[in-house]
Amino acid sequence: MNSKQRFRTRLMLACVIAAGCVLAAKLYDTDIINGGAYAARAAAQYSKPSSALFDRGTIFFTSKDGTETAAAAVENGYLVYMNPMQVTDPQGDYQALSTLLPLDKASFIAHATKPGDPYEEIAHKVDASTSAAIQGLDLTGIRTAPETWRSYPGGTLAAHILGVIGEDGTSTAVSGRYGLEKYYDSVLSKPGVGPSIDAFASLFSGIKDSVFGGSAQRSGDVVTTIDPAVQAYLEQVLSQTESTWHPDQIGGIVIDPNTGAIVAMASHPTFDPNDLSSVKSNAVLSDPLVESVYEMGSIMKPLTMAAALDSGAVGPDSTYDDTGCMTVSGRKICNYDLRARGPATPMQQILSQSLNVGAATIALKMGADEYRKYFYSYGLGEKSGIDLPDEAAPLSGNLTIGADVDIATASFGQGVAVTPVGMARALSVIANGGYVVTPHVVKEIDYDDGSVVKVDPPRAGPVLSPKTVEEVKNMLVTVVDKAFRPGTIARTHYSQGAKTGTAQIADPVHGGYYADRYLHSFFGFFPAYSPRFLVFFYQVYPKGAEYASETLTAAYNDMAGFLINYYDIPPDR
Amino acid sequence: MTKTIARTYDTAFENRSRITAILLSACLFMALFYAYDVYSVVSKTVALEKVSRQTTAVSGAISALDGSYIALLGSVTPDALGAYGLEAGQVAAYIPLSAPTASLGGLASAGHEL
Repeated sequence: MNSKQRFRTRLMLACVIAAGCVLAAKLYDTDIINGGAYAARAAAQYSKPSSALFDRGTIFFTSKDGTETAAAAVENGYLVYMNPMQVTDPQGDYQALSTLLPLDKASFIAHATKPGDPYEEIAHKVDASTSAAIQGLDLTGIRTAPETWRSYPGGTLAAHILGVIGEDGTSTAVSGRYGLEKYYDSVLSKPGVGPSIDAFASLFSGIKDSVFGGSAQRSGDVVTTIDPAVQAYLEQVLSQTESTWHPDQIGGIVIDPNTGAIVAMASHPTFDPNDLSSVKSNAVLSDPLVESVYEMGSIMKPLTMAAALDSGAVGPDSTYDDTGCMTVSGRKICNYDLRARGPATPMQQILSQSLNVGAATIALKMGADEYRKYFYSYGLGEKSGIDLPDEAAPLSGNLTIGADVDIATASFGQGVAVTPVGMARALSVIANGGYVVTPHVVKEIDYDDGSVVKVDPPRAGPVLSPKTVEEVKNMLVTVVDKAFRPGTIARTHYSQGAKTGTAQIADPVHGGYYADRYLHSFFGFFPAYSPRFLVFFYQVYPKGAEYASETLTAAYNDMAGFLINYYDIPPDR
Repeated sequence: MTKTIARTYDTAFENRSRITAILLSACLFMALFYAYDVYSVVSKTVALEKVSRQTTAVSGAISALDGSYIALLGSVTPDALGAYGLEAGQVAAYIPLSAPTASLGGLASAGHEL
């Protein structure tokens, strides 16, 4: 090698080293010095970190034939947005877009001419064909992007059960806020698609999960026990009753007393989860059947009677002296009409005529400890465990004191407050032969990995003997067949057990109870000796009637008739 | 180090035409492969967009059908059926399981309405 070649070799080496240094310097500049700026420019490819794109599991209704219908699903569409800094002809753009979208001209022009604004949304939930047409217009600064939203095809149907979702306060992820959306949020939530708007950027948004594996969270769909036809009819019955009696609140539950599966459950006022902008107060989003407690009144009497019979304090043929009123611990307890029934009043009349003196008498005869034991064995001292969020605990602490007046008033459903679903659960004990079930609105979870988890809460008990159950059922059937006005709810070929309740409503301002406001309740189960369903209704402060037998009999009768026909329940007598 | 570089230089100089041809071929191949990859990504992205639009349309249709189905379910009520002249079935007679009669045979054992 001569000196020239040696020189050239060294020159090449020097060039290679210099190039390496330049590359290293550039790498340092790109990654370390300006890394943040480039990352910000990349992030600018996204419209904004938003929850516009999310995925979520579906909640299904289940019809009686097993057909599953989506009650809450994710719907796909497009978001139309603009970059006002790129819009050159707002008037022309409006003219073009207004043929495809309903737009307010003044608002559009105002947004399009905002100085220094890089992003304004024009329309949401746009369908694919309209989005394609908008893209075809090729308007400068106007773009479309995929969008997903939670859709509730049934509208207001089972709104309280389904609940709603909302953006998390700390991030832009969505999460369940009420109802099943909240209770099963960990199941329904799915890893986000990513907030990217640009199609190419979206390709890379999931690379990390693809290479390193996604999150370990199992997500899936929730299948409810709610039958949409029964739910719709229940809500119709509630609407009709509400329009007649104008209560502050009304609700109903249809439950299988043998398993605790709730087939329908609704309360009014209600809301449309597809349109939360129409909700005036967030209070309407809470489910009063689960989250509120009420003094239920005389529908507690069958439970008192069952306890008294089971404990041996009285027998089905026992009698007592009904004086119309009695004084317990200085407090007067009277029958609804203040009338005495005489010294040989049979047990049946306590239920048939809803006698407070009779209920108090047999409860006191049991003794405080025994009565309390049975009261709590019905599940009335604890939450029912229903798979809905924010369940209220019953208010029955006064029973632990054991004062006679508390036992006496609890015997006819005053002085203790329970949730409607807790009351339905307790009454199911009589209907199903003495067992305490766990009410539930979900029957299975279908995970995305293909596994299926059945929801089958165990039942406790029996807390009543079969003999007691039969005796109380006989009494309640007699209530339906003989005590109710002929032709109202009795059915020749179907045995039904039922009871009404009219409870005074507590006055929170002045203490005591309102003189003219009542809570009406009604429960019934059929066929009585092998029941398929227990139906429970309540309404708070109905106007124009004092007793539940006036206001809720028709509702129960309509619901029972519907269920008998819909499920083709065979007659039993 | 210098000897190694010099030997390498000599070898490369002797085979410079061959090396140039190989390098140019490799560049051409990689350019074609790159172009194919870009085309593949673009076409798949376009296809993805198309499928995404179809999914959106189907999703919207399914949601609308679900809504219609639920609305129809809610509209089939005893009152609605009554408007078509239908009435709730009446139980003509009840045969208890405990007292089947020979004349009724298997029907008696069902205990259902006639």
